[in-house]
Formats: sequence, C-alpha cells, structure tokens
Amino acid sequence: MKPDRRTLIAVCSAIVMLGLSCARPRPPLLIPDGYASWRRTTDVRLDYPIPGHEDRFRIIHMNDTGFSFSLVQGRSGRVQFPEGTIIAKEIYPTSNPQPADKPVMLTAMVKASSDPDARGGWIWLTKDLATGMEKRMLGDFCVQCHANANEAHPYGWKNPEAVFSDYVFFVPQNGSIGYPAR
Amino acid sequence: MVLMKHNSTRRAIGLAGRINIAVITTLVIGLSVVAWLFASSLTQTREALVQRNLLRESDILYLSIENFMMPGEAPIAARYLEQVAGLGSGFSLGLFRRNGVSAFSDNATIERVNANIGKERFQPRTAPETMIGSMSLERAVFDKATAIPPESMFFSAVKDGKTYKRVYRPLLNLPKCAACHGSDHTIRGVLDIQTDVSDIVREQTVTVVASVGGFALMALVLAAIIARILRAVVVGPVIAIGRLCRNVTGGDFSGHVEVNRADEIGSLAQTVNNMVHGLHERYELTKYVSTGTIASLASGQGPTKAERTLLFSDVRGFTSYTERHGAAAIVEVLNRLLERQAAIIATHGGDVDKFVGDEVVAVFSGGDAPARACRAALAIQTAVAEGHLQFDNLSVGIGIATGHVIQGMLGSSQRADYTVIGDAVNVASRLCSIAKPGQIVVCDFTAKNLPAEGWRLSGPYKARLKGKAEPQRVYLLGSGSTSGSEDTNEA
Repeated sequence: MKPDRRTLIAVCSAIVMLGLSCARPRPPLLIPDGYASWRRTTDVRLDYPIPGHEDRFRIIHMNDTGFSFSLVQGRSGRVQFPEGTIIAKEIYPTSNPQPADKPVMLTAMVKASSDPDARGGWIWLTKDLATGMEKRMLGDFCVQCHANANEAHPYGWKNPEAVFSDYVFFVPQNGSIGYPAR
Repeated sequence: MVLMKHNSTRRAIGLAGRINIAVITTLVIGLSVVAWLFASSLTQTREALVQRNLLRESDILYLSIENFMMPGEAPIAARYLEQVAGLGSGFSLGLFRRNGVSAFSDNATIERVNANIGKERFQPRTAPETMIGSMSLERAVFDKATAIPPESMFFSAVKDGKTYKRVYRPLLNLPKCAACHGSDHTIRGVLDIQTDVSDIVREQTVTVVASVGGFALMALVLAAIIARILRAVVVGPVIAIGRLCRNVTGGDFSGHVEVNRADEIGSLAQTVNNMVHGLHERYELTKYVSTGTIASLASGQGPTKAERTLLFSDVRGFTSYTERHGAAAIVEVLNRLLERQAAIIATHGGDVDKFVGDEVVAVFSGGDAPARACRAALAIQTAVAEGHLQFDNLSVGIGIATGHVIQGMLGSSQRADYTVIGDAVNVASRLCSIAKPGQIVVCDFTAKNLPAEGWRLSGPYKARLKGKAEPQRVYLLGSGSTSGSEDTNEA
C-alpha cells in the first residue's frame, strides 16, 4: 500500500471519527417495561374524548416516587411532584377495548427539571409499545394542553380553586384534592 | 485485422503552469468553501431571526385570540384580527379552521358552540362574511401543521418577484376551550402569518456577491503574487538549469547558472555548475585519449586477444624540417597534419590509439579491417598530396599489418592507456619505417585479406625487418614504386 493512500485513509477515518464523536448520543430509555405494575392515579374510567387523545381508552400509572408528591391546601395550594416521578398513560386503540386488547402506545411525563428537553419541569414523551422506541416531544403541544391542569378545567375534579397541579390533571387523592388512586 | 495504434499527443504543462494550477485550484476551493460558509451563515441567521419574529408574533396573536375567546368575545376577536390583517407593510395575516376553511367566514362555529352549551349564546351574523386575510392555503404544509402532534410550520414563498416567509401556527383545542367547542378534536385552527423578507434577501445577496467578489479579487492577486514569487525563486532557476543542461547535451560547455543564493536552489545551481565544469574537463580530456580507451572505461572491458589491423603513419623528413623552422610553425603544421589523418581514420572506422611525436598509431577492428585500413591509408596519402601547401610539403610513409594482438589497459595505476601489443604492432611499425614518402607498405597477411578487386598492389617484395630472422613478404599499395626489386629490397 502506498503511503499517500494510507494517509488518505487515516484522514478519512479521522473525519468519520470526529463526525461520530460530534453526533448527539441517543438518550436513555425512561419508561421501564414494568410500568404496568405501578399504581393508577385515578379510578375514573377514561374513555371520554379529550383533545390530543380523542376518545381512545386510557389508563394512567405512576411510579412510587410520584406518590410521595407534596401538597399545600387552600387558595394558594400547590402540588409538587418529586424529581424522578414517571406518569405513564396507556393509550388503547378504541374507547371500549376488550380485555384481551393491549395498549398501542404510552404518553408519559418524567419529572426532570434540569433536563434540557424538559418543558414545565417535565420531559414529555411517547413510547411505541410495539418497538419499545421512545420519542421526546420537544414542542409545546403537550405542555400547552397540560398547563390547563393548573387552572380550572373540565376534567375529573375540575380543580375549582385553580391549584397549581404541576401539569397533572388527575392528582391522586391526598386530603381533599384529586381522585382516589387504585 | 489491422490494429492501428493511436498516439495521442498532449501538450505538456510546465512547472510554472502546474504550480499556478495548484495555487489557483487551492484558492478557488478555499474561496468556494469560505463563500459557501459565509452565505450559509448569513442565511441561517436571517432564517432564525425571521422565524423567531414570526413565532413571537404568532404567540402574541395566539394569546390575544385566547383571551378574547375565553370570555366569549369572539366578535371582538374577529374585528381585532381583521384590523391586524390590514396593517400592510409586508405583513399578512390569515386564520383558518382545522379543515382549511377561512375562520369567521360563515356561522358554522356559532351554531356548533350554541349547540354545545345548549343555548343561543351567540346570534348568527347577518352582516357580510368576515375574511381574515386573502392568502391561498398551502395544503401540504397545512396538513403537517395540523397533524398529531401539531407543529408550527415555517416555509418560504416567492410571488411577483418578492420573497415571503410564512408560518402556520396551529391553535389547540385546549381543555378550557372544550366547554364551547367540544372535546372531539385537538386542533381548533391555524394562524397564518406572512412577512415580506425581500429587502433582507436582497441585502444579503448584495453582501454575499460583494464579499465573494472581494475574495475572488484577493485570490487572484494572491495567486499572481505567489506565481511571481515561485517563478523568481523556483521556476526561473530550474528553467536556467534545464537550458544549461540542453546546451551541455549539444556540446556547449560555456554556460553556467547565475544563482547566488544559500538555499536548496542555490545549492542545486552550484552543483550543476560544478558538474558542467567537470564534464567540460572530461570532454577536453577525451581529445587526448583514444576511443578504445573511452569505450573500455565505459564498459569495464578487460584485456582481450583479437585480430586487429594496425596502421602506422610517420612524417618523412621531419627531423630536418624541425631544424629549419620555429617551434610554433612546427607545432601548427604538425597538428594540422595529424588532425587531418585522425579525421580520415575516424571516417573509415578506425581508432587512433596514440600519437607518438609525428607518428600516428591507429587500430582497425572487424572482418573488413584490412580493407578499411588500406582505404584510410590511400585517403591519407591523397589528402597529404593534395594539401601539400597547407602541410608545408611534408609527406608521410604508412605501414599496415594485420595479426593477433593483445588489447587492454597498459600502464600504471596513475597513468594507463587502452592499447595493443603484439607482433603485428611491431611489424606495422617496421613497415612504416621502411615506407618512403607517399608509400603504403602492407604485410602479406593484410594483402591476402583484401577484396579481390579494386586494389593496386605491387609485389610481393621481400623486406628484412628488425626483429625478424627471415625476410618478410610485403606489398606496396596504390601508385608509386619501391626503391628495390624483389629479394634486393631489404631493410
């Protein structure tokens, strides 16, 4: 092999290595496979239509970290979920799935305030349950809708006192706020 | 089948041309990369600024619509948007429902809201339809903006020679909107904002063109300077060295390269000058060394034993001639005579082995060596006779003998000749010494090896030669006569 060809290969390799080193690494998966064993945040049957999910049946799970959220009651009330909270919403293909039906996807919130992808302190993402691929939602679609949870809204307990609910519509019952978890 | 070979001729590119091509290519590539980066950077900056402004404008309008709508002031919202859309100055605004129909263009939404809240909250309008904006819908982009998840879509448009930047900003059917508009859809509509960026694009184009022009000018100037420097520093000396080498190849050793520098080129020029000087010295030396010696040195040939024909030519009456003339005249005439003989010998394929005073010793090789030696001898006698004026009436006697000789380098390690020794050499020398002015005496073996026709040989004569016990058979070549008859002409 001629030296000039060797030099050329070395230069090309260096350029490729540089490119690979500059490429953004794939972020780690945030939703574990065993999410379905987590407790639910509400026992309300979520089969009514809502913007973003239409009328597809939904089940919401939250990890144990999330259930240790803090709550301040009253007009200046405030809900604060701890870092590491994961809320995973199963989306079924129809509004009335059969027992054998499986969810087709997850929409999830992961509390990670310092993450650059976080909006409102949460990472918003979808997970394709067939492939296991997660996709971070970097726009403001999710957070813009969930921001309504922090004011009076038409769902569940409706948040009549406009308590800051940390972007969560169904806060598990703790005192007088939210709905009983199952 | 006849195969034809085509020889393509390409015009060679000189060193200066190659350097210029390399310099200009490098500059053009570098310039192109810089210009591309510059233009890309400007475009990206412009796009980012325009998009940011469009996003902010859409944010403000979004909030305005939301705050008009929540208290149920849709008519005020419609009037507000209509006024904003009429601001002009390169700014255009449109509002579409999620199906692409222009908002406020009919009573469909009013009827739907009244149905959702279960009362006649809004009266259907009887006034002419309100149209927010008049821009045509870009359906493909619109569909992307209203897909799930919805996304603000920025795109460019060129119309009537003007460049526009446009955004489709989807409006969400937020939970707080659902009470009136229902929960069965995610997208309420799309804000369409368009701004004229022709001035910015024009300014950017002028900036890029001016910059590229400036870079190009700089590159050309730089290329010219580099080429001039290279020509002076490298190409000029190389061309001069090449010219000197061509002259040396043609036999002209008079030139030298005038480069007085202490760098690599200066060193090369000095080396070439020294080489040419050395070659000149060696070339001059070849005049004093036989062709056989040079060939032997070149080939590294060792001593050989071979059949050769020896020609000895000696000036007659030279001793008395030197007594009558001055040294300068003697040397001049003798050199003229020797040079003429050497030229004739060379013409006939002979090799002048040496000059010994006024004597020439030549060696002929090959199967026809006797014939060529004899022809050379006849030519010499003719030339000397015809040129008697320039040779001051001097004449020569020639002896020719053929036989086996030993040929090789003879002498010391400091000084040696590639010459011949052997009986034939001695015989040729003796024959030369008995030849009278204008005579050519050849040995018996030489005479018998001449072609049958074309020779005027007389003899044989018996000649008593020094070193030989018995008289030798000899012949006279050409015209003329011996001084004695057979058996009486003894030396």
